[in-house]
Amino acid sequence: MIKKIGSWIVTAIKETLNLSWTLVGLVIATLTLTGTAQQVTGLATVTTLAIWLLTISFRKD
Amino acid sequence: MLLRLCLALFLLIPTPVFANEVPGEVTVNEGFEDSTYETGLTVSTGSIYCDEQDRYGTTGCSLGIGSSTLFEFSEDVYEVGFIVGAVNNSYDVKYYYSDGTDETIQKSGQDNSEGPPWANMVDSFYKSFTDYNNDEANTDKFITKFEVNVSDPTVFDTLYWQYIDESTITTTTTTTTIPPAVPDNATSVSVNYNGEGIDFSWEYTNGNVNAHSFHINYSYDNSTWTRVIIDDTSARTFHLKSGYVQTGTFYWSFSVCGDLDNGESCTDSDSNNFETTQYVAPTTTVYVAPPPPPPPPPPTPQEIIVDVVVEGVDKTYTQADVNDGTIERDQERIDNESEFGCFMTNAQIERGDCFIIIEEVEVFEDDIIEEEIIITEKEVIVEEIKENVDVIILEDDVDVLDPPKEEVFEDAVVEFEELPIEFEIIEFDLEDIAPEIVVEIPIQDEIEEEIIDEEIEVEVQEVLDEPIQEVVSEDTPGTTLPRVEDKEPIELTEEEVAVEVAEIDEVIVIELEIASEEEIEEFTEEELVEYEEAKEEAIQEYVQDLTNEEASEVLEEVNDIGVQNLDQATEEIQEVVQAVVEEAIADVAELTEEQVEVVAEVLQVEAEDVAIIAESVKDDEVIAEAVEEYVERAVENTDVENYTLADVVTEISYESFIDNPIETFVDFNNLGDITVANIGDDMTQDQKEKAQEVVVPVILTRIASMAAFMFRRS
Repeated sequence: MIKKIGSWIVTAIKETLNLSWTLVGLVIATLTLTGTAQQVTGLATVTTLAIWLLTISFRKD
Repeated sequence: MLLRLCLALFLLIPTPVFANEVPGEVTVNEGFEDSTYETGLTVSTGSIYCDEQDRYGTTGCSLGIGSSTLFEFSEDVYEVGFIVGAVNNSYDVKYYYSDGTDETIQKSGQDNSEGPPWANMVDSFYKSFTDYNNDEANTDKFITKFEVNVSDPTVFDTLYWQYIDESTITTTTTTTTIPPAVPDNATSVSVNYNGEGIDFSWEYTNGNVNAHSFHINYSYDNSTWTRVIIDDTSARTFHLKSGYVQTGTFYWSFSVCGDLDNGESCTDSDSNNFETTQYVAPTTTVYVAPPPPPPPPPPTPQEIIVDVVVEGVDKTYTQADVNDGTIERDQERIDNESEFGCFMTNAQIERGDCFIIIEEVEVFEDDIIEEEIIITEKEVIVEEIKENVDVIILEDDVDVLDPPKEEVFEDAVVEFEELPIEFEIIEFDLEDIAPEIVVEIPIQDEIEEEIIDEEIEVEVQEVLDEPIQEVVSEDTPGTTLPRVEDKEPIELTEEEVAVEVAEIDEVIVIELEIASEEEIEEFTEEELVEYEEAKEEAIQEYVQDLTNEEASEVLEEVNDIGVQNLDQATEEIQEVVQAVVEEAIADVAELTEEQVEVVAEVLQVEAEDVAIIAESVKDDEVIAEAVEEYVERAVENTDVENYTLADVVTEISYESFIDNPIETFVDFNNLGDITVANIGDDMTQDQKEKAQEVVVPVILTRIASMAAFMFRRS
């Protein structure tokens, strides 16, 4: 179990690194926005990243 | 016999004795018709009795008494009278006087046998103790009160009393006019006529009043007099020259006069007349004053150099105008009004103070290459705009759709350099100047003919009528087109900046205790904090006291120079401007539309965004901090082009993200209130465009890289 979790973490880090430029853009976008747009963008970024990482195995299958 | 009869008649006929009229005499009658007594009378007992009116010698009602009753006066009464009736038993009346004495009059009971109305059952009383009624027996006593002592029911009526009202006595003041002081008469006044002149001589010695002058009056008709005034009081002779002597009767009088200026008068010491036998015509020498020298010529004005008709108005220029360049600037204004419709100098035009119409604009070039990749609709829109738009109006010298700005502007400069008018310089000598000389140079019509193309104006007007800007802003969302409202940064020379800063200094009148740098360096941390707090407090008080108009005036001056150019101003001025901006945002609801526009210009946003900012400040710490630090950061970023409030917001967001990355992404407020429709409504237009400039390229880059990756794999 621990091995699986460790493997997932490594994979998640790799996937996140693959998304580096996208994440940089989204972070910049979030910081450039204000008000509700900033909140929605930030929430969408975090949520999407979480889903992306949680569905690694699902997408590879 | 007749005399005796007249004497007998005189003695038989009674002659009334008339008392002298007493000045200020007041007679008060009290008839006891009601319970309110006349002023000045106090009655100790009794009540108004109306059951037996007009009986016992009374008139109407009366005062019913049955025991000792005191009547007291407040005035110095010298005469009193009354009646007492229906008294069956003996009684008395006691008078009290002002000298402390009194007098009692005893009376026996009245006879009631006559029956109703008992008209004779009454006693009359009268007492007077002054000189006013001419009674020799009177003294200067006053009656202070009197007392009626009865033991059975009695009526009291018809009371009167008299006294003197000093306030009504007219005081007659006799003013004795003192006759003016007169000096003593002169004596031994003699007049000798020897056929030519007339010699006067006299003797005089000062008495109580000193002589100030001697007057010799003479006349030839005894009505029109000529007066000779001899101020030398030591003189005792006078010679009237023969030139003033005419044939006829010579009337003369001699007077000694005192100080007439101080009310003293003259004597008539002597007067007489005699006949003159020889007339010597007076030799009259008329003094003809030389004509006054001509007034000095007025200082030579340095005019008229040029007289020009500007817009139909005759305008005269002086040498000073030529020296300081006024003529050149006016010429620039004339040219620019014809060229651009703005009566402004070239410097003002270059600064962007004028709405300039520029013909032909190329639409959508390099700036939208990336969008063409993904949004094909834009091409359609662009084509539509190209078809419909021949001329686009630029506001504040800003290009729309990437126009060939420099080329157009160079053309304009060429127009400026070719001055269509050559001023005719006319120099005058002062003596040759004639006011009516005016050289009129009709300028306006020629310029209009040369420069203005009416057809272009018509086309421009047609284009103006079309909602071009709305098409750009509404139908092409997401484009990276520069905004119509974008402004060129204010480019001022150092001298102009200094002038504008001085104007701001003049507008901002605040007293601050400013410490020198050396003093600040010597401050301890606590002292520095106190110093900063005191300064901030003083600024806040100053800003709080500013009216909206005054605050707007400050911001207008800031707009003249541009916020980023405030680095030339002192730190205190910057802080005041910052405080004014904050105050304006806080009180935006109270500002007029014009004042909001001024605030918007300071923040480099649109007018409608000011309200959004004001609302966001309340619940968005980042924007609140951005407003607080806007001026400071704008000054720090002087070299950054188009530095606006959105840039400050972004900077502060990044700083906040660096400090606490998680919070930036997890700081959700009122997430439930967010709907798809209102997302972004609380962003200023400027902020949206800044975000577009960042987000869109990032997304496009990511898509492009993914496409390339997929292409390589396939």
